[in-house]
Order: sequence, then C-alpha cells, then structure tokens
Amino acid sequence: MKTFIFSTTLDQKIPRSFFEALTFAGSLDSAEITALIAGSLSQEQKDYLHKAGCGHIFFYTQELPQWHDPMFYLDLVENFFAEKGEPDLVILGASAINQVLAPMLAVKLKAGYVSRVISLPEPQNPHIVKRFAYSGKIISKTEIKTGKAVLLLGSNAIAPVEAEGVKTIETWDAKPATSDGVEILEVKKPETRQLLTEARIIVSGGRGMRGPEYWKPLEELAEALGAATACSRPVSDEGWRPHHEHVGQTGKVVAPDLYIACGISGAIQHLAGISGSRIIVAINKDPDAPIFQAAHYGIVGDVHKILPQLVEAARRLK
Amino acid sequence: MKIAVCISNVPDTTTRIKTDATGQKIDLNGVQWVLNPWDELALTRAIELKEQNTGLVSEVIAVMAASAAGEATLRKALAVGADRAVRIDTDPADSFEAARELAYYFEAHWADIIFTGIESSDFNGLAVGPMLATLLKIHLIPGVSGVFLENGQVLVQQEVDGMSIRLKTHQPVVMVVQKGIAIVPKIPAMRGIMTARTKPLEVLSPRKEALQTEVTAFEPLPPKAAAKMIDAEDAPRLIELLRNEAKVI
Repeated sequence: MKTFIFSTTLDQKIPRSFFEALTFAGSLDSAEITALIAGSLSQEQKDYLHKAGCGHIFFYTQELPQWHDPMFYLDLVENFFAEKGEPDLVILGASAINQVLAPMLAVKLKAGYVSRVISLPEPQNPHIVKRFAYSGKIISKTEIKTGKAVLLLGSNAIAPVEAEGVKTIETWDAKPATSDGVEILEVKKPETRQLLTEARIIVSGGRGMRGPEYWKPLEELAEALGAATACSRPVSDEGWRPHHEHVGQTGKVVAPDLYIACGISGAIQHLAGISGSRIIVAINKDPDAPIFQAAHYGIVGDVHKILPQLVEAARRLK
Repeated sequence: MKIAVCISNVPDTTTRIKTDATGQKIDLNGVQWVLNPWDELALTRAIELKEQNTGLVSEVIAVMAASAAGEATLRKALAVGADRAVRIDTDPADSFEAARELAYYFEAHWADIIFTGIESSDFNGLAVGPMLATLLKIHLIPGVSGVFLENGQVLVQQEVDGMSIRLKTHQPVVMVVQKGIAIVPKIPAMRGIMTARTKPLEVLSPRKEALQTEVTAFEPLPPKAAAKMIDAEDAPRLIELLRNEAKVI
C-alpha cells in the first residue's frame, strides 16, 4: 500500500506530529512509506531523521510562503504525486497546515477522510479508525468506504516510536502555485513560540488566579517544567491573557501528556478542550469544582500558596 | 457583496451524549439543538460587516445542510440578523457530504465571501471549509481571526502557529474562521425574533451521492479512576508523583 506522509518544519525542527504519523504508518503490514518534509531543517534534525525515520524521505528546502497559503501546500503535494505516483493512503500528523491540507487532499484524491484519529488501526486495517466525537464525550468507530483514504491524526494521540532508519533520503524540488490575488500586508512573528498543540506539558490558569498580576508563579512553574502556558475562556475574554492561550471549546483543543489547571473550575466547554490530555492536575480552592472529576491528581487549596511550592519542587528536579 | 455563513446545528455543549440501544447511533431524544459556537461567531461578524457597510454588503445568507430538526437553529440565525436562510434537506454522514451539498448550492448561487466555522462541536471534523473551497475551486484562507472591509477591499487577519498575518484578498473566497473574528456572539433582540418569522427560509433537495465514510459504532470513554488528592500542606509531593508515578515530567 503506497503510504504518503507530509509535514512542514517548525523553527528548523521536525514536529513530533511527523513521527506520530510515521509510527502510525509503520504499524501497518504493507505500507510502502514515502514522506515529504517542507521547510528548512537543522543538520542535527536531519541526522536524527536518518536514524529514527523509515521509508523514502524527500526534503523540499525552498522557502515556504509567509502566510498559511493552502493553495501552495496542496499544489506542492500534487506536484509530488504527479512525479512519484498517487498514494493509496495519506497519513498526516496534527499541525495547523496539515489540518487544512488533509481535507483538500481527500477531495483531490476522491478519498474518504477521517480527522483526529486517536489510536493505531486494528486489525492492521487503516480503513477502520477511531476518533473522538461530540467534543471528546464519546469515541466513534468510522469505516472508510473508498479505496483511498486520508487520515489526520489527533494531536499527541499516538506515542511515536523510533523506526529502523530510512531507506533513502534526498532533496526534491518543485515550483508550486500560490493563491493569486492574495497580498500580504503585514507579518508579525513572535520572538519565541511554544505551540500549545505541540506542547507536552501545559500549565493553565483560570479565573481563580484572580488577575493578570498574579500570573508570575504560574509562568515560573511552566518555565521549570519546560511547559507552555494557557488559560480558560473567562481569562482571555477579560484580557488577562492573549486569546491564543484560550483552551477549550472555541479556543484550542490540546492533548498534552500533562495539563495542570490552576484555579480553573472545569466548565464543560473547558473540558472539551483538554479531554485528550494524558494526565490532568487540578488545583482549586473549591473541592466541588467539576475539574476534579476530570483530574488524575488534585489539590484543594489556595493556588497562590501552592504554586510557589510547586515551582520550588520543580526546580529541584534538575 | 454577498456574505454566506455555513451553519451547523449541534447538540448544546452541556448535553449528555449517549448511544441508543443498538450502540450504533447517538440517542438524540431530548437534545437541545444550538447554533454551532464557531458558526455563531462567524454569523456575528457577517452581520456586523453588513451593518457597518450598508450598500456594500447586500446580503447575509445562512446556509445549512440538515434535516428539519435544524430549522429552529436557522430561524435563530435569521433572528440574529441574517437576511435569508437556505436548508439543504439532508443530515450529512460526514464532512465531505456536508461540503459537497454546500458546494452544489454555491455553484448555483454564488457568494463573494463564504464563512465556515473551524469545526462543529458534534463531529469536530475541521474539514468542511477546506473541502468546500477545493470543490468550488476558489481561494481558501484558513485561521481567520478578523475580517474588515476598507474602501471596498477585503482585509483578513490570519493567526496560525503563533504568527499573525494581515492579508488583502480577492473574492470569491472561503474563510475558515476561528475565535477572534468575533468574541461575543450576537443575541437576537425581540424585533429580530419577530421579523425572523417572515424572512425567507428556502428548503432544497439534496443531491445524495455515495457515502465515503460511515460511523459503524460508538464506544464510551474508558472509565477514569477518582483523582488522587494531595494535601495542600504537602503540595511538593505532587511534583514527586508526577515524576515517579505518572512519569510525565
């Protein structure tokens, strides 16, 4: 089965979601894996890919558009298919670009599409997959009835394992089309960025934090744990924290290994955004807060007294 | 300029989701249906654009692929301020069926800007907007957190992967919108509710082609043990448990 994987790089790195897709593909009996990675990459990452990757890997190293132009990525991949042949199966890891590319490719390939797949296929059949539905309240089993299939994996849903090493690795070039008639007026790039959707650990604050001036210990805990920071909806609506930190329904859906909820009561809209997390910690002064129902570990108490203690303990870990 | 907003009808977020006796379908008895939260924000912005640009924006149309159960939600869209509504009479089995039915509609009834919410809170498929643009062969701008009309030009704020980009775009265009396009959804006023009853709501027959995917079963989430509670006086023990027991740090 011809299996295709695509990823862009992020700040010179291959995102974890690529290795998740590779692991998914590697679990299939008859997958002939071809992967295309677009964007610049550090030498260290290339070396790692040699060792931990598999199949035939191609690099597209030309500059990528400054804005997220879906036309570019679609045309890039279609160019690739025109040269290397159309795949039977496309597996894309969860990234902002893949999230848009995957359904477009499904239309182009006339392939059945399932997004946010949460587990490896069984029994070795990529046409029957599981995903969450109703914002994480239930699991649905979906059957793809077309010959070709396109799957978008859920973020952090598959534990990546190192494969046996790549067969071939080479650069590949193309001149993809871009969306004409779209003009860039301004680009703002953050100095540092840790994406919530890629983060393994997230420390998140709610209204119980009392105000933006109390965020320092939360940020210190995040720093000590190498975590990203996030917040609940009331916090971003109040302007205490930027909107891109909002986790929950209408905000971001995250699935880290560890989610630490500080002063978050756990409204159902918030839980919808974190239900894929492996371990949830709740710190809240109200013992009846619904967040404790979703949590694996909990502390009832004043978050302002507890956070500094956690910061100190986390710093001692190193 | 016509702005169309694709609307999805979803169970209220607080609904308890359970399967029927067969385990293959969701038991929809007693479900309170609402306008999908992202579509509600898109609709809010579409109406603001019309209000702020009278003469330029001629019409805001709410389009939905749903069975008759979706009609109340469409009436709500009219009450909030959409000028007319279209219902394509089918309950889509997947994102592709929804996108395909919408594409047939828009091929015959062009709109300059088509908004789709980034996802719906029932299937969370993330796919209708990108599929619709691909089927219609028109531009797609994903990650839209702001739309502005200035001197007859369409300006767009795109936020993706921490980047914030300001664009100018031609039409027709499909925009996949996220929070930020509006923050607080517009709520219908009494006058809106009254006029909604007389606004046009057209029902169209679906094309109904072969399905590409089918949900064959639902499974409950695996049971979760009660949280392990740690005494507030002993908070540092949490860090120890996260390292040695949960092994996540």
